Amino acid sequence: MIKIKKLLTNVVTSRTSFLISLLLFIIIILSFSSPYFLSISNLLEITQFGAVLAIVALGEALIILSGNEGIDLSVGAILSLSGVLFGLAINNGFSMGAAIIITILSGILLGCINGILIAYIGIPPLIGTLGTMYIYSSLALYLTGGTPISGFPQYFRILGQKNTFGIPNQVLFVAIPIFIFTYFIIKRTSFGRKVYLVGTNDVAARLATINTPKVRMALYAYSGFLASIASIIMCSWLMTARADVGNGLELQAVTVSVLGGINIKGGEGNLSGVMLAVLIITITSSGLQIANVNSIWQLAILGFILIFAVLLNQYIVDKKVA
Amino acid sequence: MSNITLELKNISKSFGGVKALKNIDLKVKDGEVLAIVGENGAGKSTLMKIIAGALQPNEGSILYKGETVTFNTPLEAMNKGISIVYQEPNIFGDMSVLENLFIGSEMIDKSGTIDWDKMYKEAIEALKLVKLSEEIISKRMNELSIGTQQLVLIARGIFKKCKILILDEPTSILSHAETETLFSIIEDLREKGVSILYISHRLKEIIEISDNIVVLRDGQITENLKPEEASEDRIITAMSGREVNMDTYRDRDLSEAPILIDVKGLSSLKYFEDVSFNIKRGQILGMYGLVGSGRSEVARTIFGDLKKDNGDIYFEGQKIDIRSPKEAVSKKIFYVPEDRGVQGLFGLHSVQYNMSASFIDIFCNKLSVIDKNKEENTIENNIDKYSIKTNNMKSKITSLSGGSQQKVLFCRWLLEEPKLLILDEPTRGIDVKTKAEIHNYIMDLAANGVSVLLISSDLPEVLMLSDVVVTMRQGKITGCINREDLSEELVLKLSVGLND
Repeated sequence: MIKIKKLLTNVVTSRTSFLISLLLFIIIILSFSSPYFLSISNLLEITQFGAVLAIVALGEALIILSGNEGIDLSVGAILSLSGVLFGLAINNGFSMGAAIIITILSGILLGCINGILIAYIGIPPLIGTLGTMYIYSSLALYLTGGTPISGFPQYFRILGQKNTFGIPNQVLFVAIPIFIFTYFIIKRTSFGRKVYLVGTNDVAARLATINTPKVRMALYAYSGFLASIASIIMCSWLMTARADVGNGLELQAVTVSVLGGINIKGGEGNLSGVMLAVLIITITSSGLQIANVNSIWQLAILGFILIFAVLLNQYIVDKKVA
Repeated sequence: MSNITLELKNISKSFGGVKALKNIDLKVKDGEVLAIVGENGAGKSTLMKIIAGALQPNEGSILYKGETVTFNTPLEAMNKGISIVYQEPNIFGDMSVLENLFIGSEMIDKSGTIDWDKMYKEAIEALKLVKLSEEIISKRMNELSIGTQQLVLIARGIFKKCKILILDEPTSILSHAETETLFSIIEDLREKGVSILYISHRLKEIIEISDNIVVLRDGQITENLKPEEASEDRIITAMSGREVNMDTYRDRDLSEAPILIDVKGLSSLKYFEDVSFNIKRGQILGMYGLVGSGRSEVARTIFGDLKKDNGDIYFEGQKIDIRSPKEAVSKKIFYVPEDRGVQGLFGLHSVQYNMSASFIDIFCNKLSVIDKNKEENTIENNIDKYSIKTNNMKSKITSLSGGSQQKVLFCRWLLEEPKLLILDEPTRGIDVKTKAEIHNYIMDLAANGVSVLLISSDLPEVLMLSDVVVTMRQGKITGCINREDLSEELVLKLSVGLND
């Protein structure tokens, strides 16, 4: 009995093993609700719905990790705007390669604007990125005039709608490599170390000669870069570019970051936790759809999972410390 | 008249094994102005905090109006009539004077809402006590000068049946006119039978206004003087006389050593002005001054963390202009900051992360990938070399003792070899043994040709290690003393502004 208790405590205190358990638990529950749910092919298929969120959430998680109330509310708007620019570029006769480069550069530029406002001018992140969120969204709407842009070449479907070895292409060729790259940067390079230090104690980091504005600037730029990559996937998936496609994505990204164990005050957390949180949220939403739960309730259930998971975790950690 | 309001019996207080107060006996009479003097760390503030309920003694008892009392919070003491006004005004700048006067003790009418009219009337009375006009009642605190803010806080402290008022260095930020006002307020209070405990470094003032002067040294009362018999020299003598262990100092011949850094007329208008000194290669320059005299700001300016307004810095004979800590480090000027928790530690992280924070790039390859083995070996060696007590390098820094934490921060800046090492309060709040070890490391560094700027409020430490001592007071250098002429009394005198 004590052994089981100990095991349980361990599971809940280590965020990663807790998230894995939660994921398994959700898969088991959902598999009761529908016979189609629990198959490898279905589970792999589901991951396509998580690719965009996973990519955007990596940027969001890093920004929260870098502390000083860091948050990026404009990721959804950057995704929309750079997707629109991508569609316009294709429709104006640019080659696929050129259009991709334009899109990525615009994403980086939009992220840099956030970075300058926050890291160099000193606007609080919540306000700064809220402002750019509105501006970027309006720009996207203006450029499309409110009508979705189509006219992508047929082969472009490959990225967002096709599989390789049963794994959706956008997961296998984009989300996973980006995760590995980002994970490596954060775990193994001096830049990654600096992100953690800056997020823990800004003053101490500055006195330890870390260029704190530069670190934050780089992260906002990276977040913009990731949002633009995600926008290309989104365009390929929908085969249209829409000005409202990123709406609400920023809050989902914050949600999975926090659920994944990133300390909202910065300095602490693990990117693999964030990826597990993306899986949990994605699988729950599609599982509920398969189980025919009224879609009205889907967001509420996500809310419950978030609050319950964080509370349980905090409760156990507090108890262990005390 | 001579009833005893407050009596302390055998009060002792320790912080983690360090005795801050030892067997203090003190009597305060009705309407007495009792001055308390002593150098930094003598225990003045600790004693006042105990009386005001902000700290609890480990031993001894407090008799107030003849009864034994224990105050668990400053509010309890305040409700009984003991108020304290700290040196740094503790204000809510965006709120009005009225709101600040009643913070935590707002008056409530029958319906349970705040009774502004009643508070307004009382506030007028309170401000009268400190000779401030009622016009300022609705102003925001931030609009007032610091001196006026201090007077408002004094008003807050005294207007409610106050029996004892504690003033912690009230005049250090007051203008001359404001000081005069304060003295007449003190005079009024004395007549009303309010006792005043008055901490100050301004000895002239103290002799002028107090009925009794108590001198603290190393947590003990060394002298209890009447102002008639006290002179500034006599007080200084009583303050000094701490035991100084001179064994750590090693004689080195510095006569041939070249000047490493020459600071000329450095000013940062907000903090200090016209600061000049030089340090030779391998020399330890001690900088002593009371808290708030601008020492740390000088250090941070040299380190490029604060902007200078005027003056030049010559380093190895060349004029340099350092605009960021990074530029300072590239010149091999390193700085171990004053406040361990706020400016030094990365509390969420391990010993390893904390130690390698400043020089993480030296463990990296061209692609800035960290060579884990290289990093961990270096850290491991340093943990051994400086005998840092930790389970292993992955332990959280906050699980270590204060002394070990300080060693980690010290090591952080020794991963590369400094030319000038600025140490700001390197041993504050750490145990005696670790302190001695750190003193030895400092001596080792100097013997190896590293120049050290040692900023400390710990006078014995400054006396023990320094080849030269510079004293600072209110943002200015007041003296420069060579080791041959060094004495505790001289340093103290210069640091409180007595230069004859």
